[in-house]
Formats: sequence, C-alpha cells, structure tokens
Amino acid sequence: MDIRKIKKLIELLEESSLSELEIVEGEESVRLSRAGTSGSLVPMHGYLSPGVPAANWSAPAAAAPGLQAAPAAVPAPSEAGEEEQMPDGELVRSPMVGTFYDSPSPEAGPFVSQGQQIKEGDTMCIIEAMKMFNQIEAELAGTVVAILVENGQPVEFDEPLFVIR
Amino acid sequence: MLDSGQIRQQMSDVALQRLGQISVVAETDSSNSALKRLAPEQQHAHALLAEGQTGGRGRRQRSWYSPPGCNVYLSLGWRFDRCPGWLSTLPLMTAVCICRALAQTGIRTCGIKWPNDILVNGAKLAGILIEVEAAGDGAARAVIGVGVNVFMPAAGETGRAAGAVIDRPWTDVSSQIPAGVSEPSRNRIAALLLEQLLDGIGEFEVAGFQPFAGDWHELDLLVGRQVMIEHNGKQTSGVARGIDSDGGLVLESREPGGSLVRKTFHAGEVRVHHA
Repeated sequence: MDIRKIKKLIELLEESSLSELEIVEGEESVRLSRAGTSGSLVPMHGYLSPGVPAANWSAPAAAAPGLQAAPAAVPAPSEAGEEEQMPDGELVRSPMVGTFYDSPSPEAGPFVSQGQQIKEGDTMCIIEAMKMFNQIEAELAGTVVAILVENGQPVEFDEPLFVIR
Repeated sequence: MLDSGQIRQQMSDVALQRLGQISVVAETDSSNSALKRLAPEQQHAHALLAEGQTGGRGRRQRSWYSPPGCNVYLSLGWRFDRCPGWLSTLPLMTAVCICRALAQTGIRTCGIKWPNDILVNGAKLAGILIEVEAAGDGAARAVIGVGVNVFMPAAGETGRAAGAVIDRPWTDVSSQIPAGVSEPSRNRIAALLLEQLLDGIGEFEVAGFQPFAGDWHELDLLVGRQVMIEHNGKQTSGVARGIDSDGGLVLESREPGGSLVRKTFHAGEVRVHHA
C-alpha cells in the first residue's frame, strides 16, 4: 500500500478524537490505532491482497470507532513488489509548512539514507519556507528505518518525515 | 573599512541595549557560516560583518558575489522563544526592515519581490538568507544573513566585471543614491540595517508580522501582477493576490472550467510576466 495513503489516514485519525481507525475497500484494509496515551500513531494491522492495484485505492473517510486492537502486523508487499510500509519507531515531523530537501545543496549527497545510524544532533534534512532554511536535527540516536518524503516535495506542518528506531 | 566602534556610534541606545557583540572579520566563507560556527550561546544578538566572502551564498547554495571591501555582508544571530514554525514570516519581516533602512539612506525606490528579494527597477540591490534550527525547549535559533550591494567594482578581484559574474540584473547603493544626497559609508549602512532589524525583531516577537503588513503591501512588487511561479519543476501562472498569514504567496488562477481558484505557495521562483 502506498505509504502516502497511510500518512493521510494518520492525519485523519490525528485530527479526530478517535482511538482507532479502520478502512476497508475491496480486499484491502488498514487499521490504525493510537499507542497508549502518548498520542503517537503506529499502524497496527493491514493487509493487501494480490490483484488489487494500489493505484485504484482511495481513502474514504470511513471510521470504525470502538474496535478491539488487532494483533500487530505489517502490511504485506503489494503485487508490484513494493514493500512500502510505515515501520514502528519514532516519527520525525516537519516543524513547518515548506519544501523538504534531503541534501545541503542540489549537488551534494543526502544528509541521511535509509538504514543509516544517526546520533543526536545530526542534520537530517532541510525544510524551506519563504526562502528560510530550517535545519532539522535528530533529537535521538538510532537507525533511519524510513524516509517518508521525497526530495523537493512540499510538506505540511507536523507531517511525518522520517522513522527512527 | 568596517569598524564595530563606528557602527555602534551611529546606533541608538535602545538598539544597542538589544545588541550583544559586533564582530568584523576580514574575509570568511560566508558571514552566516562564520556565525553558525560559534557556540550557540554566543550567537544570540551577535552581529557579524565580513569585509569579503569567498563562499557567499543565497538560496540552495546559489553564489552571492562578494568582493572584499565594497559591500555589506551582515549576519545577525537571534534566539526566538518560539518554535521554528512560528517564524515563517521572518524573511518577509526582514525584507521590510531592509527597505526601511535603505529608505533612510535616501533610496526610496526599493520594492520586495516575494518572499525577500530587494529590487530597484527590477535589479537586485539586497538579498537575504535566513537559516533556522530548533534550539530545543521549543525555541528556535535563527541566523539572519543580509547582503547589500553598496559599491560594486567595475572589475572584480579576479579581473572579471561584476556584471559578468552575477547572472541576474543587479544594482548597488552608490548608483541608486539620489542626486544631492551624500553616499553613506558601509559602517553607516550596517548601523541602519542593525537598527531596523533589532527594532523590527522586537516588534515581531511581540506582535508577529501584523505590524509589518502595511509596509509589506506598499513594497510588494508582485501584488496584482500576472506572474509565473516555478517550483519543483512545475509551473503555475496566475495573478498575485498578496500573502497569507504564514507569508505564503497567494496566486489566483483560472481553472480549465473557467472558475477562479486561489493557491498558496511557500516556495518557488517567481517571474513577472511583462505585458
């Protein structure tokens, strides 16, 4: 399942007072649940049946409150072989609306790559807004397990950018 | 020569009370980088001026031509007790402050091309590069870099004329000063810039961008014009309709169906369509 769709769902859930959100369309489903009272969200369960093209998947604003927490599972790979998923871990979020850059300049290599070990204070990316450059630093050490946005992509306030574990 | 004593002499007591240190360095890579290399606690209210920059830069490492001894390259560090997201209008506020300072030299023809290019008749007179990072505990550390072309030499130190080095129309203070008005020294310009910036930051910390909105509207070179914004390889044309509360550029375009829609942009290169 496209990770952006999952991100949209997370936003939907965050804006609501729900503790859980399950979306079912055809044979695809994803269920999101708030972890404890910390307010951070992790996907708890989801599967994607082969034969359902991800591109046909849209996110209806359906919500199913009051469901029991499902056993944790990760979304299965889609038929196309893409293993996009939101892994467990701490989310690094954008402090402002702007444009995401993964490198200090267009010619330079990225600040961090997937799988890289980082330590507290390492620069992870730059967010540009109104030509102001906001350097985002890691607030904890760990491994970059996912980069959720692409270089040059617009991001919203509080949008998840990285997963660190 | 730039001189911190002479700069201080031309500033008000109120502004000096808000200012910590003034440093003048001969030549450095860029005044922003030099300030950022200092320990965080030494950056706040610290004004660092460079006689010349070997790696003067603008947006996304675009170079800012910085020959020594002719212009003002100034970086001011400031710690805002606000989260970085709150600072999105800081570049616009800074541009307004620079126009106010330049007006005091006698140049009243400046305008701002969103978000923070200072132009006179389409030629760039001053540029801004602001870098921000979270300082922890919800605060933000900003380095406000300002470059003002004061007296561009006909030939740069490498023997190349400035016109051949800078790829876009540019101008300088010495050619924009009205007849009969004496040309300000670089120390005078630095003092005026700092005075306006410190005053502006004080107001901005209390009331945000609102106190600057009136001046912004007067100085906005794009409002009501047909413009094209290019961002991330995508071009959008429309009529500029000012800014939103975050400082984003509002563009009004006609959809294929004929209805008018407004979109807000927070990044991109703007070009004005000339009729």
